[in-house]
Amino acid sequence: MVGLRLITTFLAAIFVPGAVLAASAIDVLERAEEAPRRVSYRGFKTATVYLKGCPTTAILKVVHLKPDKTRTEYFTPALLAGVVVIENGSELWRYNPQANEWEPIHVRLINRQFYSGDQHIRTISKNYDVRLIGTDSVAGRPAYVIQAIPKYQGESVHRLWIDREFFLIMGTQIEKPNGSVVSSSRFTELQLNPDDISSAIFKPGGHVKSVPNAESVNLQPMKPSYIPKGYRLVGISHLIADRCRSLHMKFSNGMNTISLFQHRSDGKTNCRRAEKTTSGILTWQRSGMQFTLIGDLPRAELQKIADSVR
Amino acid sequence: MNCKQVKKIICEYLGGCLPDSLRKEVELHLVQCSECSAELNSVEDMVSCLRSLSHRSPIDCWPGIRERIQTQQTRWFWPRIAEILLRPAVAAPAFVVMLLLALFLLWPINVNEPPSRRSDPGLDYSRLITVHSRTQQPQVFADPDVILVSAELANSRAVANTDQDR
Repeated sequence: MVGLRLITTFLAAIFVPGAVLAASAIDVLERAEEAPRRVSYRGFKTATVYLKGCPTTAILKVVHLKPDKTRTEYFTPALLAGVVVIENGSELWRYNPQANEWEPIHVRLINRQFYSGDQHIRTISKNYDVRLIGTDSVAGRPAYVIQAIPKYQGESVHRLWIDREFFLIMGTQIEKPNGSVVSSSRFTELQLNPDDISSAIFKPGGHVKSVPNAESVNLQPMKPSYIPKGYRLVGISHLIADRCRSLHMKFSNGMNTISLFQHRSDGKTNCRRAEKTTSGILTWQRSGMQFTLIGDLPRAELQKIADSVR
Repeated sequence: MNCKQVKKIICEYLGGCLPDSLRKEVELHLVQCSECSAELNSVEDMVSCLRSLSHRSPIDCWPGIRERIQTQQTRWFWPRIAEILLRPAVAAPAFVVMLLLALFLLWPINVNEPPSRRSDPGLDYSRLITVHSRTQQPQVFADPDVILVSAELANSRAVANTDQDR
């Protein structure tokens, strides 16, 4: 009898903390998902991307006004210096410093029912083993460290630093299955809920490219019959920018996202035609349509998705 | 022998092809019947008239007949073909074959082609990259700034490689 108790206690000591930590990690993620709608903030941030082992660090300033206004200014690298991206609800603007003008992009979500917070968390739980692995400090603030280990081969390991008080994501890191870091981001300075953020900064402050009135895209969307395991369609939207109307389909496995853009390449629109293959971007033309696939996936996977689009 | 029977064999009588007994019966009737006698005279006149016509050999007139037949054939060849083609038994299968052929020729054959891979640095992907990185939650756990920087770097590197190739 004593032996049985000892074994039970031993097993509980091993498994129960793991289960509790897993449950806690999901709770933290659920609150983190809500955080941008509840918290305003202003801060500086670094985002480092490793391409073939060579790091490139972007320094940027982010100002967020709850629930859905965000302004991001990029200072480095040179490629992005001066670029500003503003999100204001469904409106999106990108400032091009070379042309000294703002390009508006109308994004009209066709179907919101694809996504809900619960579904998102369920998707993450299905595709990743999520654990709270400890605590850390980011920008002088205490943070939970959450690790998401993929259940499917080939996907990356994600690590998140989440503010312990406001549950804002303050840092991210993505590692390949072999342990090499793919990218990371971290707030270096952060003010939470400052009371002097003006909503005026979430509008373009200079010359804005003119765009026609938003019209329906009238495209018969082609869909991929293959998407990597764990991914699902989370949204379809119409984009109208620079007289080019596109359809945007987004797929997610909860942590990573893939975008498929399609528009007519009939020469009547202002959509420039091109074909391109690079890591993370694949572009091709087929049946009078121009397709662009963007996603942080191996080339072979992107190619497989592209081949299945009908 | 009555009139009907006599008229039936009157040509044979004129040609001298009847047996004697029958010839005598005909002659007896002709003596008694003025109508049949008149009929006999009429046939005799017609035969003598035909005999007086100029004689033409069938061999002489054959080339003319053949020429006329050929002319007729030439004139009626296409309408005849059209008539054959318009028959339902021919037209329906022909239509189906033509339809299949048209579908085969007009079907966009590049549907199953693999995506092409020609690099072109001209396309401005910034817009798409911006949209990819920013819109349509859920991606709260994938940092949009990392996505944007990553995609822009990949894009610029592809452009640079293409420039070097040139």
